[in-house]
Amino acid sequence: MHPTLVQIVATVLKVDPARVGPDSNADTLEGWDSLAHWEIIAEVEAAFAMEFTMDEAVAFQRLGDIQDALLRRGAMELVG
Amino acid sequence: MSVVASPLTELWDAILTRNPRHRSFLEHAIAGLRPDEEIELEHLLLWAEAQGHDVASMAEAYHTIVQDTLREQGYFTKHGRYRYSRLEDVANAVYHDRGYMDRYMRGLALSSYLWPNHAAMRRYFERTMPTNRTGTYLEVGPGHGFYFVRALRDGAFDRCVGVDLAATSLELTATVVDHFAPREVDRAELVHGDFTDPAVASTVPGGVDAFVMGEVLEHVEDPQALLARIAGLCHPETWIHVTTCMNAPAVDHIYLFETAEEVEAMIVGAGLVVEDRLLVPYVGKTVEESVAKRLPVNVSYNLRLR
Repeated sequence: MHPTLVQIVATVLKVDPARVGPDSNADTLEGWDSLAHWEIIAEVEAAFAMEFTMDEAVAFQRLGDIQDALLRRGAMELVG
Repeated sequence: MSVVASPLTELWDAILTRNPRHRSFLEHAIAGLRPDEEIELEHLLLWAEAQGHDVASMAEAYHTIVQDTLREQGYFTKHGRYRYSRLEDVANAVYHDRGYMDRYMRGLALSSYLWPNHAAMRRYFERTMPTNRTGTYLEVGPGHGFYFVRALRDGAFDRCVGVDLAATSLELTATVVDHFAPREVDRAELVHGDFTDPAVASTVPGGVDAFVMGEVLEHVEDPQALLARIAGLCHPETWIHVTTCMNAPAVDHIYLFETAEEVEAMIVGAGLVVEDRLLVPYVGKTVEESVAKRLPVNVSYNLRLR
């Protein structure tokens, strides 16, 4: 996972970054409710200087989906 | 440990197949249901099935409302306001779109059991509705029809009138009455139209003994005028039950209340007083925290004429 994504989710949800991975979602991390979802989206958009469409943002089921969308748009390169 | 009956298990599975990230939310919802509510929900699924909507179709309806609300929350977070502010903007896209309205209302009926805020308001209505009052019960915006049928079945009203802008809502309410209160059908009357339209208003009775309007104020451009119209139909003994919400975006919410004080100023301005209220903050937050962070808060009022 891209470290920026991990850091954003860990910061917004106040959880240990070690618990954050591609399958993280509302089911695996407490506090990831609908409002936290939009906070994460806003932070990701700011960090990668892009904007998801509303339909894209609503459809994300897991953190890996957000990373996939960023990679598809060329807004992110995986490191490491 | 609660044992969930099979139609409900089917519903949970269908919802989670459609939206896996909803698991934790759903588990909390199921844990919060009383055994009698599980039975009611099961009956709701049986009613839906009788209307040709199987469990998968109900899960799809529920998914519609979850996703659409999530989308509007995103808009609200970004822009600080609801997407629309005029009735005409949402009337065609929502109220007059039969397919959408049908899904929306069935999804909303499920939410009154599965969403903690809607469940709390439903329970408050059930707990405080006077069951020994006679005369006329008037409900504006019966929506899915489940409050209306509760008044018809559990109340002692001589006549229950429902007025709704959306034909689909009235049709749905009619099927709910037929299914859940077949012996009370003669006491029910459903009127299609805009309650604020003088032509429609003249078809509903004055001097009502109970007035109910759940989640309508946020759907109109001028809630103050609507409250004044309500006051004009009531007498000093009328039981008036009105609910609304603050900072709670949805596809058809057009009037943004930010605090309960704003709502209550309008209530007082319309010649009504608050007898009792239930404030339901965002899950895990206090009312004060919810207001400060502009998170959704629901409120139910029992009112009377001043």
